[in-house]
Amino acid sequence: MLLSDIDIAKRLVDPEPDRKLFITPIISAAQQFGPSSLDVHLSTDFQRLENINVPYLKFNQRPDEDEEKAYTERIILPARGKFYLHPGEFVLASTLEYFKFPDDLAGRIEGRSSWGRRGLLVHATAGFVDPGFAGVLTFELSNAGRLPIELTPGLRIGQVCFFQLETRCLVPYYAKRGAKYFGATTLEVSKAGFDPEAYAASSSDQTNP
Amino acid sequence: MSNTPEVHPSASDPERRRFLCVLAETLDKLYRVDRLLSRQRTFLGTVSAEDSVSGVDALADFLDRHREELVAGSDAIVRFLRGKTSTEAERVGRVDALVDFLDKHREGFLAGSDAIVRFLQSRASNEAEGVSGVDALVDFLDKHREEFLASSDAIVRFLQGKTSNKEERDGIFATLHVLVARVLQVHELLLLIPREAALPQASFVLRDCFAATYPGASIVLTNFYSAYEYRFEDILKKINIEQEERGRLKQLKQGGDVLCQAFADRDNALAWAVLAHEYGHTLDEGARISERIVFGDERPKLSADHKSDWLVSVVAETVADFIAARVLGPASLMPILFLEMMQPQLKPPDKSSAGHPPTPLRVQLVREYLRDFGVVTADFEKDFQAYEYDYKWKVARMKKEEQETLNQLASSAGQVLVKNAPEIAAKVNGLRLRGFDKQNATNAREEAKVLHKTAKWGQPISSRRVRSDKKIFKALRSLKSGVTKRERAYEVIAAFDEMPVPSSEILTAGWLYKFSSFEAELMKTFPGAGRKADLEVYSEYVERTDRRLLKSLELAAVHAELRNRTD
Repeated sequence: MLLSDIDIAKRLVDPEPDRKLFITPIISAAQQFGPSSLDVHLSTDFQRLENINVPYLKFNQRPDEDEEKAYTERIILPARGKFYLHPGEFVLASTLEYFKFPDDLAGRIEGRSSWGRRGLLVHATAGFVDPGFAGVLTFELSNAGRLPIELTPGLRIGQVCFFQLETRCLVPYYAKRGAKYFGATTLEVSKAGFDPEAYAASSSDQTNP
Repeated sequence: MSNTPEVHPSASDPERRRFLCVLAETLDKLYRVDRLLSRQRTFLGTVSAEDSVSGVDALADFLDRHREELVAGSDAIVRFLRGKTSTEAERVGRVDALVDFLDKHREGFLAGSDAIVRFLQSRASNEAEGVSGVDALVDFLDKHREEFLASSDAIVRFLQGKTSNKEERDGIFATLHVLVARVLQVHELLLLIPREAALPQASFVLRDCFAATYPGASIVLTNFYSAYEYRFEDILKKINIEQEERGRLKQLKQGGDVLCQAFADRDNALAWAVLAHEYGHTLDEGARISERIVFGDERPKLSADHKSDWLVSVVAETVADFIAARVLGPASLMPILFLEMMQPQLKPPDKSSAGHPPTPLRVQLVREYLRDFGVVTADFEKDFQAYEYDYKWKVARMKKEEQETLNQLASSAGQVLVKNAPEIAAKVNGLRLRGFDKQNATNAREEAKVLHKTAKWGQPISSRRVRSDKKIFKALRSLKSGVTKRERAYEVIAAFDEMPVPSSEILTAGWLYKFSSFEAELMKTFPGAGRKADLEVYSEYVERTDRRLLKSLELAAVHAELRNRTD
């Protein structure tokens, strides 16, 4: 069931701790609430993927500091800073808002129509948020238009909608084995290299060159 | 009052707290230095030594012209760090040249240079093994970490209050101080690899504290050996720049101030309280507060004698302390106390250079000043007592003549400052800074509780709602889809709007959280019962706290900016 504005609002102040949806900061509720979604703002940090130092992204690429530095560039803007997203460019960014989902709510992050009309895509493929997740949400920003897009922290470029599960899940995200992004206070690069299948494949690569 | 602290058969509360503070701060710094070295290793692995040095606006051109001199220094550093320095003469020569270069910029850089040269020379024998400089530092820290962990049984006994023997307690402390000394030594060495950038959140804090009153002030923030403040123009004058360049520097008149933050504390928002003190010096210089207090409105034409210099200096430190306390509250003192507790001994007093009043006097004056705004420092009491214990313990170990000099200086400074404190306070209040008051202290206490309650999932503390959740929920239940008018719906929804929390509350809450949580984290780090001490546990706690505070400061800054834009 997709939550309406009133349902989202009630979940934000629900007296039952297990049902409470936590989102902070809510800067201007009147602007942020949509009929069945809540608008979210762009934060200050960006991570750009670079193709200078690595020939390709290995399936077992792990985000330890050395490797992360080799294929990404971190940019942290001041509160009034500007970021220009060029046509075809792909960068990671995050929501200003910090979320904590209860065990019976899932979410989806989507773009806003006004920004979509300028060619801004806010996620490449992973817009789904699991019940029990806590942290900021990641934007996988890309510019599908033909002109660079000027961005600045605090713009409302996305919206999140919420779905109530028919039953509470058995293992929420915070308890899931191998949950990689729980509690993230800033954007994090891909940790796909920590997936056991990626690790196993890289081990077998080494033994059978 | 005697300088020797009372010794109890088992550790007294202040003695135990002092140990916890030093242990916590050492593990904190150790983790930070480790991270810094890890970043440096990445840097050396991915960036070419030929890269040009970048600067800040007007500084960029100046640096270009002096690139040769700078690159000469940086080449040597890069070679040293990669273990490629060929001869001892070169190593020593380069280090000397570097020290000369730094000396031109700031006399204070020299504070740690002896230790650096000694350390660099002692590491030189490792060159043949092809160990890079950063790796050598990491190895050095690892070795001392291991040695320290060998005493973890004794530490566990102490933490569990099972150490009855004073000798054993002294022994544990001595072991801890060996590690402290090594961490500080490596921290000094980081002077040689100045490639860290200050985080924007540090600038958010300063902007939040001061920009409302001083919007035009422009500050260059940088990470360096230690925390201090200096004027950019002074440095440029010292290094004999061309007349033509000096003319161009007039544009810096408004904002040539540089505030430095220790390298290791780059991510440590709690330590940034020191920046407010340094900013206080900038404001003092602009408003000539300390100079007017000492000399009246007539500024002496020639430089004053040593006594006047000393007077201006101790008054200036108190002005800076009051300014920092006005904007940040008691949190402004804590980084100073923790850093001092980490030092194995007090610096021998020197009449000619005693610019800072004795720290216990600074603490007393700041606490009295804060009381005028209803800010009670009871939450910090245990840690003030631990500091006092530490100070007395160190004074008791000084030579007799040093103790006498210290007492004399403390007494002179006390007379001057107690007499002038009301005037200093009045002048600082006249700056009309947004002050930390009783309400901020109460809010910070609530925010510290949130940090505790949500430690597992890391909620930031950047904003709060005016109305309680209960009242909003009740109002929401009165709304009916399809019936309630739009205006009424918006009225209820507007209650969700949050107000950004000032940086001062975030930092104060951070300190309160640290004080109430670090003992439990140390216990987890040193679990005892045959289980090995695991310093990673403490590192994770520090990292978690850093991230929450940085996120909180970032959110509060962007939130406040958005409110300004839309208002």
